[in-house]
Amino acid sequence: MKTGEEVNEMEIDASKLTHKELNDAIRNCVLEGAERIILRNVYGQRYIGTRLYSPNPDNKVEIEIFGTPGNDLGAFLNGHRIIVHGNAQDGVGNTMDDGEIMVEGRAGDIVGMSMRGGKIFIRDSVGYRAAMHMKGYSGKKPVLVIGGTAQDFLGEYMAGGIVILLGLGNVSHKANFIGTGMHGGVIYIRGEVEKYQLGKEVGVLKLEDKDEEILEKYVREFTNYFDLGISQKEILSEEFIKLLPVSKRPYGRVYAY
Amino acid sequence: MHNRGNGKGGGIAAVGLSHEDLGVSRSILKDDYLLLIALLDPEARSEVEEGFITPLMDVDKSERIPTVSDYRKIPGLELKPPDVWRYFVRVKEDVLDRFIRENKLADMDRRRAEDEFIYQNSFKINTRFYASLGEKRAFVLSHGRDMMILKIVGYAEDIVRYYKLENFRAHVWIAHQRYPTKGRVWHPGGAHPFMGMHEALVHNGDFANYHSVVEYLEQRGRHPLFLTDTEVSVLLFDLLNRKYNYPLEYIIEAMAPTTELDFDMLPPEKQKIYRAIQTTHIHGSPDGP
Repeated sequence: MKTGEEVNEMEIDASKLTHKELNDAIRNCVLEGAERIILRNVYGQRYIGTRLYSPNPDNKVEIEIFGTPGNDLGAFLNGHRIIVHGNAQDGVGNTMDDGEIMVEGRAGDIVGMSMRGGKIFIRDSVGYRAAMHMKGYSGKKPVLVIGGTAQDFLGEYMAGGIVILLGLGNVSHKANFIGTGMHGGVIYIRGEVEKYQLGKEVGVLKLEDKDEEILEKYVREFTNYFDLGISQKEILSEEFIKLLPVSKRPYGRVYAY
Repeated sequence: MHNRGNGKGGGIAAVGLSHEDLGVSRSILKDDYLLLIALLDPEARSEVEEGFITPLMDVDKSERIPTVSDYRKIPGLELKPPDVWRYFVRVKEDVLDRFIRENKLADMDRRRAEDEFIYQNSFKINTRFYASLGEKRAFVLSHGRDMMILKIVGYAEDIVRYYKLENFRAHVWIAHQRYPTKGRVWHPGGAHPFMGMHEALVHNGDFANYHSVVEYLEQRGRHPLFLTDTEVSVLLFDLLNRKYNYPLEYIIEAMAPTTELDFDMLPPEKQKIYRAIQTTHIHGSPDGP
């Protein structure tokens, strides 16, 4: 990503556009060579950042959003970068493939659902079923970092990738069914979680050195992106727990005859 | 959100209004009922007023909500929206005395009895002047204090344009685009929001047990008129709120029962109350997507 005057920057006023018109306009900007696109007055338009596939892997854009993007922000995201100055709705990063999404606020349900690559950073809390069926394979390792807490079914049926729940801002974790059906990947939680809040398919483990490295890396990125009033060091000074699946096929016996 | 509707029903609600915008004193806005009547047949106005307003209520102010001169100037608005009259009213003292006597409401707070009078009166107007499957001449849009509901066959934003509300002030707004897909899908009274007493409600999705909830309501003397699950949900709320006098927590429990792990985690005394609420009201609990 280039900086300063070199960057080919375009701006769209979304206030009178439907989701299709807005996404057409974004696509046109990319085809015209935009490297950064500023969206102003976004009022719930869906699918922003989708439909921006380019066969040229270097052809990446940064999309900066002012307002509230609608559901499925960055769905199938193909390596682009999205920054939201505000809250997001449901389905942030649905099945995203690569790239980064930063939300300076909270996000709704199913953040990172079926995500298979790239990184999502949510400054505040998220709704139900975050990281549901997140997956990873052959070098793809999706990462979701949540500053606050999550509602029920965090990491449900999770199959790969990394979820980090930071519990910042004196929130207590009230989610139940964390990691239900989980069979791959890892969830790190800072703050207290009772045994009954966890799904039957996960076990609680102590952190190892490689876990510390992972947390150091992504918490640093998180604190770099957001103005939090708390440092990486302070965040990491509190204890984290690690959740791992106890089986690779938790429902193997349910469906086998 | 224009493209989430299909122009067959749009509505708005506004709560916490400006007495200056409405041309009344602060106390009239706070104390009076704001009765909004949609006239699909403008000729029905004198019948509504003479039968259901002027003999029963003191009218502090009445006026037709101003509109643009021709609805066809608004692109996309295919049907003429109703003329809407608004009335700031209080029930006449002697009328309310008689109502309290005849209905044995002497133990009830006088203001709550007046609420009930207004509520029943609106039901009478709606049954007399509006049939969802028949003749439609007029219906009550809302009757709560310091709030109003407007709805049309069209899009929600067209209400703001047609009734010239661009500069109208309120603390809280709801706008709803309808995309009716089921049953007798559209008629002017079928758009959201629906009124309770002092509430406006919109919803999406549908009840799998609509008929069961309707039967539950009818057994308790509440008769839905507009053929939609949204209406029954606000009737349900009003029944639990004003008739059974439940606190909000119990209303929520009756409408959305706590189950499974969430129920097991409750303290025993809470479980006892919630179990009693569920046993009594489970058939009135909306179910479905």
